[in-house]
Amino acid sequence: MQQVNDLDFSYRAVLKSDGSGRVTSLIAYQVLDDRPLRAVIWDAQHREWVSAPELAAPLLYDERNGDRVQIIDRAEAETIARQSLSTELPETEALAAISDEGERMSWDFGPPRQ
Amino acid sequence: MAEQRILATLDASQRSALDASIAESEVVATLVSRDLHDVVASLSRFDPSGEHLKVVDEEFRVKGTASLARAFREAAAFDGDVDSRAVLARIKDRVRFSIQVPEDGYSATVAAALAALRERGYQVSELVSFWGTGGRHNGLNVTLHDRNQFTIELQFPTPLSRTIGKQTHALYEISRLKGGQAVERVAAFLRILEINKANGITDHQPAGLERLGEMRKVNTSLTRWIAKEPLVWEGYRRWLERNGMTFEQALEHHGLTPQDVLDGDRSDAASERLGLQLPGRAEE
Repeated sequence: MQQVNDLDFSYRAVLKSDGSGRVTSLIAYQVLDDRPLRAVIWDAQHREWVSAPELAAPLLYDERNGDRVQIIDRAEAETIARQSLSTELPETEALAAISDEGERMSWDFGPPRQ
Repeated sequence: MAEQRILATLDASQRSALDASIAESEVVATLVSRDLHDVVASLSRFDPSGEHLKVVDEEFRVKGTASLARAFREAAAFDGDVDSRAVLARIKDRVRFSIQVPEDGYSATVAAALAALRERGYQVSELVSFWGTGGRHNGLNVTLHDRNQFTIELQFPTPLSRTIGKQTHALYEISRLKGGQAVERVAAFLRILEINKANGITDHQPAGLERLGEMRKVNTSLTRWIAKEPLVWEGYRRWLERNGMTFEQALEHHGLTPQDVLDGDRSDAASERLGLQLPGRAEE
């Protein structure tokens, strides 16, 4: 079985919690061996990409959210970002840099706003 | 520390909205508590001894600051709403209660409880069942609305499922939150199945749930969990390989058999996904 590369990201579309089926966010994340989850999300409230693994984890791993998350590939994530979220999906190097900064600063829920 | 980190991601107006929400929740919870105790008292025919049918765990009836802040941040970040009150209104368990129900007559008791709540003006909006063999979690969650459309979550555990819930809560948190590596998440999940098995929950599923009407069923089996999030399984398989173990050996370590993990989903796809074969299945 192959080792996961530091620049390998997986992608999930997140649907709005009202059951409308509308995509309101994206998660780009990495499950690396011997490391906690690394995840960058589209923060739909602040309209920016932020490192927030503590927010992403329950969407990925809690069965109660199973119907809100769809498995997609990078090409689909790029399309959704552009067409549904009016943004651009960062390149993988940029996603890794956001994750690195988040880990360094312990921004598990996104950056502070105060 | 985690609470401080969550709160730091909220601005002053959002924190004020959270404080106001908790104060409102306390008022709502007091009224709901009174109604639930009345309802339970009216159902004494279902538990003449009075030992098992009761409102339980009321100390958790209002979601605390850290937990509410997490739910708020999740809802705001993924849904994109900027109106704090709208975000808070969509959080289903700001006020949450549990009525423990005896296993015998479970469905009839729950049906009677819901009917009594409707008579008191509550709207029963959604039933979500987690009951099922081979699953991580067993229970029934009901979403209610009071006369002012405030959302309340009401759970109906049995004495056994409640005991298991307390034994497994910390493991559930490992399986679903950020900190865990893939191997820790899967190991926590397997440990939960081990505890479920030790308590014999498979033999204590309530009968007649269909009489409760329309409900959403959530499959909490290992195979469904992995199908939804295959990367965690791949990470776990790499860990097994590095440590020279097979999945069957890992199951054995937890006192589990392939049947225990496949009970929740007996499809060929599930067997294939886990690389397991049920006894006799190959000859079928």
